[in-house]
Amino acid sequence: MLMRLDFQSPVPIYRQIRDQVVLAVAEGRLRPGEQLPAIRALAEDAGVNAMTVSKAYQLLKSEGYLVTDRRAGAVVCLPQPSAGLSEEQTARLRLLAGEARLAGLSRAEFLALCGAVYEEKEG
Amino acid sequence: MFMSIIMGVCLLPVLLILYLTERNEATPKKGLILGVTLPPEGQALPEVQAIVARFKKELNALCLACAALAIPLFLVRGEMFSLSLWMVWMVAAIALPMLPHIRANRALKALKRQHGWSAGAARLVDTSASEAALPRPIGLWQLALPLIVSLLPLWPILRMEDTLLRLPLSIIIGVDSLCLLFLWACGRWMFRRRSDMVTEDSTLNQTLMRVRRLYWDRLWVISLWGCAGLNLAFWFFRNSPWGVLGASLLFGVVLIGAEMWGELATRRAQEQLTAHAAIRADEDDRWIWGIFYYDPEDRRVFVSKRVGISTTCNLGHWGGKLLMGFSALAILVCLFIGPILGVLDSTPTHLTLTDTALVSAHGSSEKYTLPLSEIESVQLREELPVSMRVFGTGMEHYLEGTFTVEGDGSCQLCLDPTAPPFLRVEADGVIYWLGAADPAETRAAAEALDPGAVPAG
Repeated sequence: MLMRLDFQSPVPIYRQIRDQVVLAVAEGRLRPGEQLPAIRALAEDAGVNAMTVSKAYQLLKSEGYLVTDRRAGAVVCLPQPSAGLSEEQTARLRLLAGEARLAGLSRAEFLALCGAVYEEKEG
Repeated sequence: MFMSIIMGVCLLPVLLILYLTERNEATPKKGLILGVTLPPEGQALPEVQAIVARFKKELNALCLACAALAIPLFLVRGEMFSLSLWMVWMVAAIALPMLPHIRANRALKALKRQHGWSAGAARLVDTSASEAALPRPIGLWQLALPLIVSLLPLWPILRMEDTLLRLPLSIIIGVDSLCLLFLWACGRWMFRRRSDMVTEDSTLNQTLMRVRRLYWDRLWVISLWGCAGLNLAFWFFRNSPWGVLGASLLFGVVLIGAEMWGELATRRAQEQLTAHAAIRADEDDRWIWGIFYYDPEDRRVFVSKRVGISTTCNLGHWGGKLLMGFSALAILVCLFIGPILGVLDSTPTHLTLTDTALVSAHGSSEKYTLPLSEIESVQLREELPVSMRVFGTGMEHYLEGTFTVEGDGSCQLCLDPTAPPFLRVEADGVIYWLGAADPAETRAAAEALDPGAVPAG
């Protein structure tokens, strides 16, 4: 998996790492059981603080995308399917829908776009 | 003339190395031409080809001019003046070949902006390039054998009866052995860095990393054995200055040759492996003129260069600024080596007799103070026997330190070899050859110490 870290972006680096791992898992670019680099190695490769990577890994672990093992290190896993989106995720979707409306998208256009993006993730 | 030959042999290859590496920058590798990332269609553009052709022409002209400027230096008289001029030449030979590169880099960057070829400033990290599949860093066993070989000369040195030779030779062998440990530690540390994450293809990224690491591994091993061999040579040729000089030159040639081989072979592999690859990395904005890395967001002090196997400092980091400052200072200091050594060489030596001791000094700096009660014999000699420096200073008008003197073995010297007579003093079991730049001063000291030591008339 090729990770892109944009230092000019307002999104914090730990969040960029987390988002890209989640996207890669959803798109099948990262498979369950696949190993991610050790915190120090990824920090060295990316030129960021080890704490930044650690924070991203902690977040991924708490969300169920990652399990850490003393021997295998950080291993990708699929989170347990839940009943639906969390409150935070629903809030983000609400914001996105609002932004789409303000951008002039009709309900049909917005749903079509959501469908296309979802299909992308299904491969 | 001798100084010029030595400097020519040491410095002319620098120009050749810079020429070869600079010229190689014009061949596309990892999508880079002269430090600018260009898409395949951009590389084939006539404007790009014209910039590359101009760069090659300018580089050829400048390097030829530098080589031509070296010729008159062989005719310069006076060792220190010649050394000063060679140092100026060296700084020019390092700086001038960069000018065509900078010019071409700027032109290519402007062309890139014009065509909108930028791939974005995001930093790429390939998480799939597995560490386990990469070559291992140099291990302890790879250090052990050369270190043992390097320390071998210490066994006979520590059993030497000549105490004057024992200490300096032990220091030389010890310092060289420490260099081995330093090289090994550098080799281990450098392996932490992974680079070459330039395409979407993890296998290709990993292959590029393997190539870099393999050549680094070989270079560390060659360096370790080179240092060990140099130590052995120092011991075998301890009585032959030409042997030591030859071994040192051979050591330099082997090390520089290996470095060049590693650099160019890595570049060739990078060129072949990425010839048809879609390059995703674009770090051009972080490389000033394609030469200096500047990224304040990057926490690394050292970063791998994009082509070849070299490493450079991050000028956006305070540690990188400090290191680059020291490097620049070291190059600038070279300009003053000649004048500094010139002052040292022209400072006269003195011999002074006090109520209690014979004092040998260089300028105002006292070198040897021999208590009169310890002086066993004094001889005034008109000629200095053939002597070879073991540890100390050996210049045209100033010899100081431990020398092997024909007929006497290890001696301590402090004199101007061009200003006879010389005072041969035995004190406390050690032989000293001393002398003042002013012959009258030497004669006066000899006469005061032992009137019988001065031949009549």
